[in-house]
Amino acid sequence: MKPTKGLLLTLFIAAGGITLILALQHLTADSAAQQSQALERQALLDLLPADRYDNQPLDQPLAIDPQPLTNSQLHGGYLATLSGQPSAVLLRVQASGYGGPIELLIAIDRNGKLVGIKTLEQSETPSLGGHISEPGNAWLAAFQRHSRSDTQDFDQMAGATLTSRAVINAVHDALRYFDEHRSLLLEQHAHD
Amino acid sequence: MTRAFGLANTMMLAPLIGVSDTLPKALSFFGLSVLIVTLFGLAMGGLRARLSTSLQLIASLMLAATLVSAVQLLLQAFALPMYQHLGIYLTLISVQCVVLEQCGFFDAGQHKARLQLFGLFGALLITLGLLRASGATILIPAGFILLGLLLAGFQAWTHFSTSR
Repeated sequence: MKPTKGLLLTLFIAAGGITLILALQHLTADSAAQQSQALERQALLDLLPADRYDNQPLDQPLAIDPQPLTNSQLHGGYLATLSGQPSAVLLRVQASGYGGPIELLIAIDRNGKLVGIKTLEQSETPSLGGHISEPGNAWLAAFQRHSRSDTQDFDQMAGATLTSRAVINAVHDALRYFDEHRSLLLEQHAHD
Repeated sequence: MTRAFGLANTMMLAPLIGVSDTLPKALSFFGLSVLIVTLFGLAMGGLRARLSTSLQLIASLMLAATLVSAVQLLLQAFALPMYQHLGIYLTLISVQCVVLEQCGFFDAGQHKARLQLFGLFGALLITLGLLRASGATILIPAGFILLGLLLAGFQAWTHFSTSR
């Protein structure tokens, strides 16, 4: 009699455990999805200081066609607004690096000054050019607050000439594109 | 009969290195493992007398897996960053529960050993968390060396105080 009882109890624990987990998963599914989405968005937008925008830039893509720039490819962009006014533009630019394409998200404020650069994808040499995907990379941070008219020469990353050149060129391209299409990019919002 | 519950034979070394690179991570892992091990111990305390030894193992496996999965689901829903930081080490808590159960950690009369092991675990986690976050020792190998030094210091200290 006793072994059967124990077996039943074990089966009960198994069934109870599985039911509990399935129920919990069902109950928390929405919340978990929201959390991961929020986290992804936050990760993508961390190049833009939180006090610079109050919209959901990723829900506000710019109506620009993917097109080749001088040294890189423009893939698209997003508009960040603060209390209804355009505050910054995020451009997705692809450059060819040493190990393959480098995909950058470049934030430019309404005055044409660079706010931040984030590396979305790269396959550069780890610990040389690969540094560009580290959060808070000092070399990328040096571009901040510069605009197209600044003629300053940027240093290259040691040991990563091609990566450096690709990124610098892509940043120039993005700033030039912004300057040339500034009113168009910023006014898109007003037409909505 | 008192058994020695070392850090090594209770599966605590891996998380000790893995989650101690920042203090919040170390603290949250310590809190979660105390919570899970306590719940596990309480539940097994009620079950042990009613099950044969072989069924005890199966029941403890299920129980540990259920507890850890529940905690993982809750973290995913309400504290995703923490879940991502702790990663694989969270699942190790379930293995830890089963190992502790097998070596008699939850037997009556082991209160002192339980407190000692978790005290040591907590103290090491917090110390490592503090030291690694403040210095350049955030990398895994540095964690190992630091842990080795801490344990060596601890051993030397106990040796010194018993020989007196």
